[in-house]
Amino acid sequence: MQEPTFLILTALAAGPQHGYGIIADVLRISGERVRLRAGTLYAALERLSDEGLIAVEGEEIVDGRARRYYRLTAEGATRLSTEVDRLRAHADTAASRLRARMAGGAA
Amino acid sequence: MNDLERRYRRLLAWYPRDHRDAHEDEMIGVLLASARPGLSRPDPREVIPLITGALRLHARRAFGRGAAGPWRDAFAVAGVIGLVLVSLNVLGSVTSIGVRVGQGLPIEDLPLSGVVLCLLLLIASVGALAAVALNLRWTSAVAGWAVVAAAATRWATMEVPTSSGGGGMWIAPLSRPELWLSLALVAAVALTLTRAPRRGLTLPGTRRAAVWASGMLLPLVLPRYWVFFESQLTDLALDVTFTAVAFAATGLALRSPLGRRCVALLALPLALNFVSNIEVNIQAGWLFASLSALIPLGILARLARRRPSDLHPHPGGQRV
Repeated sequence: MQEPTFLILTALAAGPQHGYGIIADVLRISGERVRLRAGTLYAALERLSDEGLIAVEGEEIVDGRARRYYRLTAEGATRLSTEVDRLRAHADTAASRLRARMAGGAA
Repeated sequence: MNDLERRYRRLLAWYPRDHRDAHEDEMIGVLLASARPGLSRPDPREVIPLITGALRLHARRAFGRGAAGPWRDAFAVAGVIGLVLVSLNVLGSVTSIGVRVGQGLPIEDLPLSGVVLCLLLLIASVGALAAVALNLRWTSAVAGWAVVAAAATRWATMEVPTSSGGGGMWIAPLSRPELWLSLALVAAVALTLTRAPRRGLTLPGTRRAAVWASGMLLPLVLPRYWVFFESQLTDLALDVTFTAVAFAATGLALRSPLGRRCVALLALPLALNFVSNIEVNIQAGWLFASLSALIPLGILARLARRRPSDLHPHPGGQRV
C-alpha cells in the first residue's frame, strides 16, 4: 500500500470526512510532510471506492457546491489493519536490529 | 465565477465526463479552499497532479475493472470494419480487372495467380462477413484467418505492383499490401477474440462507427474504383481531399468511447494510411503488419490481467 493511500485510509478511520478535510488531516497525520493535491486525492478516492475500501457517506451543499463525505468501509478497515500489522512487524524488526547494533557498538 | 475557478474548470475538462459530473463541484471547492488568497491562476503544484490524475482515470476506464465488455464490443466492430474495407478493396480490384478485360486492355502485368488470389481473397472476406451476420463465431474467425493467408500469399508472390494504361488510371490490386495485410490481421485477431461477432453489426451506433472508420480508410478504398471516374481533380487535390476526410472521420470517432477503442485497434493501419506515400519495403511491411496484430493482442493481455469475473460479457447498456 502506498503512503498516500495509507494516510487517506488513516484519515477516514477517525470518521467520515470531505475532500478538503482529508487533505488537512493527512497533512496533520504526516507531520506536514505529505500535502495531497486535489488531482492525487480524487484519483485515489475513485480507486479506493472501486475497490470497496471507502464509500460515500453523504453530501451537503456549501457555497452552492456539492461536498461529499467519505467513510471507511469494513473492508477498508480490515485492509488498513492488515497494513498496520505489516508495518508494525517491519518496524519492530528494524527497532530490535538497531538495538542489537547499538548494543554491539557499545560493547 | 472568478478567473481562478474558470481556469480550474478548464483543467478539469481533462477528466472523464462521468467523473466531472460526479466530482467537478467538489474538486473546485477543494482547489479554491487550498488556493492562496489573491491567486488568479492555478497553482503549478496543483496543475500537474490534476492532469496526471485525469490521465490515470482515463486509463482506468480504458483498461480497468469493467473495461472488458466495451473492448469486446470494439473488437467486434473493428473486425467488421476491417473485413468491410478489405472486401471493398479487393472487390474494386476484381472489378477493375473485369473492366479492363471488357475493354480489351492488356493485363499481362497481373499474373493469373494474382487474379485467382484476388478472387480467393474476395470469397474469404465476403464469407467472413456472412459468418459475422449469422453470428457464427468460429466460422467468422477461420474465414478471417483465410483472408490473412490469401492477403499474405498475394503479397509474397506479388511481382509488378502498378502500371498505367488507357481507359483511366490503373491501380494494381493490392498495392500497399502491407496495409491490407495489417488490416486483415487486425480483423482476424478481433474476430477470434469476439464471442458474438454479430454485435459488430448490431451494436447501437455501429452504423455511426462504421462511417467513421470507413472514412478513416476511405483514401485506400476509393482509388480501387478510380477507373470509373472521369475526374478533373488533380492528384494533389485528391490527396488533400482524402486526407481531410480521413482526419475528419478519425476526429469524429475519437469523440466516442467505442470509436476511440476502434481507433486504438486500427491504429497502425490508420497510421499507414496517413503516411500513404511512404516507401515500405517487403520486410518493413511484414513488421508493420505484425505490429498491427500486436496492438489488439496487447490490449487483450492487459485485460486478461484483470480478475476473471471482469472478463465475462457485460450485460449491455454501455455508453457508446
